[in-house]
Amino acid sequence: MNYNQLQFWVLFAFVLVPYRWLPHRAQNRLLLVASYVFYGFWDYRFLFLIFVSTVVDYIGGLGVAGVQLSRRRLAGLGSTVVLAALLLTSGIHYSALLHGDLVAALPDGIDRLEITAAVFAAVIAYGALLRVLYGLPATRRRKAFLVVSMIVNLGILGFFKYCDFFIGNVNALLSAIGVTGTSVGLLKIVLPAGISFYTFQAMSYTIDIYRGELEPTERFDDFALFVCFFPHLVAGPIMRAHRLLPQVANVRRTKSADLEEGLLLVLVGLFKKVALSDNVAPIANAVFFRLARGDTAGMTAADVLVGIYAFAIQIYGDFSGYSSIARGISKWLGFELVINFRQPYIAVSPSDFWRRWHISLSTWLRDYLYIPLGGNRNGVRAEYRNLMITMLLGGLWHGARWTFVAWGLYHGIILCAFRMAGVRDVTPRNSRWRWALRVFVMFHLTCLGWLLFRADSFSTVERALSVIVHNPHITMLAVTPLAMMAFYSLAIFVLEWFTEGEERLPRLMQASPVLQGVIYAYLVTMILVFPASHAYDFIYFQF
Amino acid sequence: MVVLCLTSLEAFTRTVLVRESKDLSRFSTYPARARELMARPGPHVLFLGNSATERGVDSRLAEQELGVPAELFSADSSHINTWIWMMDAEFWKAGRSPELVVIDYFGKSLEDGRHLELGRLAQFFTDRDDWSELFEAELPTLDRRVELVVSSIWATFAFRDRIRDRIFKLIPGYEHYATVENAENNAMDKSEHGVTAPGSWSTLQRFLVLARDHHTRVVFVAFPTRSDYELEQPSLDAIRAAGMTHLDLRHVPELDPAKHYDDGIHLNAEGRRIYTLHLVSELKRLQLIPAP
Repeated sequence: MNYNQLQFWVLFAFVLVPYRWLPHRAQNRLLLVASYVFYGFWDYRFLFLIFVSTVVDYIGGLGVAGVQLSRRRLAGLGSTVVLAALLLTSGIHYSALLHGDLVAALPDGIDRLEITAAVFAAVIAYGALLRVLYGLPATRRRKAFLVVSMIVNLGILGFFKYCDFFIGNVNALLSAIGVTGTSVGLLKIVLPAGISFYTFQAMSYTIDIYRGELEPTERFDDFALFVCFFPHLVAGPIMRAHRLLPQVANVRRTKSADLEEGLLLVLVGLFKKVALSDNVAPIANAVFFRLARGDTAGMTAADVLVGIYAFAIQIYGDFSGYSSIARGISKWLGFELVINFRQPYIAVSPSDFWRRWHISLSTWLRDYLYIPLGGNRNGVRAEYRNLMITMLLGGLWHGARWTFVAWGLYHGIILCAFRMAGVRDVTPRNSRWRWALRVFVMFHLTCLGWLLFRADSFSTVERALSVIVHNPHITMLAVTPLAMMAFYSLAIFVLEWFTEGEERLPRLMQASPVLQGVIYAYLVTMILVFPASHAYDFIYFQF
Repeated sequence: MVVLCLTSLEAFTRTVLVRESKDLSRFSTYPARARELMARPGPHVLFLGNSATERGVDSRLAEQELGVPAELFSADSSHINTWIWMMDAEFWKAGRSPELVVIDYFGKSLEDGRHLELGRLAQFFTDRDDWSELFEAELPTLDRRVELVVSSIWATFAFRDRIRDRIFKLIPGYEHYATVENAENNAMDKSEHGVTAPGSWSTLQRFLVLARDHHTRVVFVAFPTRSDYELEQPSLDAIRAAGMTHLDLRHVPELDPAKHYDDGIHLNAEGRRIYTLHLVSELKRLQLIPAP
């Protein structure tokens, strides 16, 4: 269930209406339940993972700050974890329960009890570990709690996201060096939606406390809501604790301007998803599918470029659309989420691009990886090395595939290359033509990256590049989709130009009523009359 | 402004688009044509189907050859899940039962889960009384149900795909590009989803029950497309079990694939004449036309 489905909006209305009349604490509890329900619609079993992350980071955050939880509270949290494991892995048919069929909801058997037993054992072991950790001297205790939090978070992420990737590559390596008969079967693990987003968010909480930049919260419900706040749970923006936690903990006031800005953000976001991204997706799919199966006969450079441009628009519309809607509905709830995109396709350099694209991830990587690695403090060589490591891991964060690693490396390389060349950023005020040229170049460098990102294998990349080099022609078949893309995207890009992305969106609310009316009418008409005939999942859910 | 814009679009859709669309303007004539057909002395024959029927069967020639009143109702890219509502709306629900309905189909048109254009269903072939059955049978998700309800009152929304197509047809080469793009995307869907779930034929079963209840004999005719396709045994079994007839006309000897087709499916004028005569002779041979 998501933003491009009516179900979401119906359920959201059931949350929003009572929410506005409830006192602050009750609002938080409502949002917490709603967040678990929304996530549970995707796959309720994975709620357990979020809950484990939440408990470990809650205890960890307090532990880092030197706060020892009472035995009673620890026992309460531990038993809640075991109960959650029992409920979520016992095979209860929750869909039947939703329909009120109690008999059909009963589990088929008790064969999954071993999971609950394992969780129980893990909870006992963690409890014993906590006793040891609480007994350590302050400095060692702080570090130990941080390490435990990192191990649990990265362990969960690593297992669910990278385990099969690792097994597959070990198998391939062993087979390449002639070792046979040792192949390990893939576990075929289902990737929990948004695991990379909430894991990074939860980790930042413990790290910030360790660094002394944040006070831990003693309220478990506040912390749980911080981890699983539904508007941005599965595809960001990744919110830092120092920004989101105070908004959870303090009373929120919603002004009428917030409601209006929220509406505008939701409309812009829906437009980007249903009218822009999903409509250009088939253009990209058609080209990449041909490339993937090697059917390049008769394909021209223009065809391939159109496919890549279409994907550039698709992924921007999809991801920034999600972020806009997340920000919009958060505003209705009285929350302020960070801006995640600032017109990335008018970037003039790779560093400028990363200041505009998925800002919450790039700043996270900067603050928790690049700077701790040394940043640019230890000379040029170390700076380039740190950049490459950061971008490579940033690529891997997106998914367990070598093409994502290559995409990260590629961005690392162009970042280093621009820095080596000492290329300085330009603005339209400096020189309009130079700026336009730089935007053009950077857009195409970004598109080359998208080729790596979208391709299912390196063979597909190779075929695409081969067509571009060997058949540099323009066909009518390539001009048609370009015109279609222009139809869907031109107006929104113009709007974003004037509002500087979402930065100055409130400016629109001061515009003349006629202009406002035209913009609202355009957005509503496009969303209702020109949605794609096929609704695609949000791309970043798989990350 | 939003209301003004949407109202203007609605006015444009109702006054210009519906009138100019061959498919949509045809639907608005169906109630009168159904009345006229049934007002004539019977037995009455109805040819039902999609554009293959529209361009493959000459109902006037068939009427002449059969010597009984005949009509042809079709909807482009339609399948059993549209035909059942067309029959119900124009005939059965109004207490009209043509004695013989001939349905030309090809491929998997009788199977469940075929594409269903909700807009035309909502605007022309169903009303509020049908919603509960339609929800139950064809529209399991909330989104699709709301789409039907909104489509029934808002023509712009109902025909949004047609509006988009009309706009894009202004772009040179759009139709060719759309065909290529659709083929690639369909192939991609197939390769991604791998083995498809076993088919079901519940709409066909409902259609057969309704036909039997209304004393309408139905003949399902496997239409001769240029490339061959397999018949689906479960649909043949269901038709036989309901006491209805299936005619396999996939291979009509007189039809030359090189001479008588406009494309892979649609017959040209000469092909249409040949096929109509062949179909009529088969209906006569099997003595499917009831006595007056």
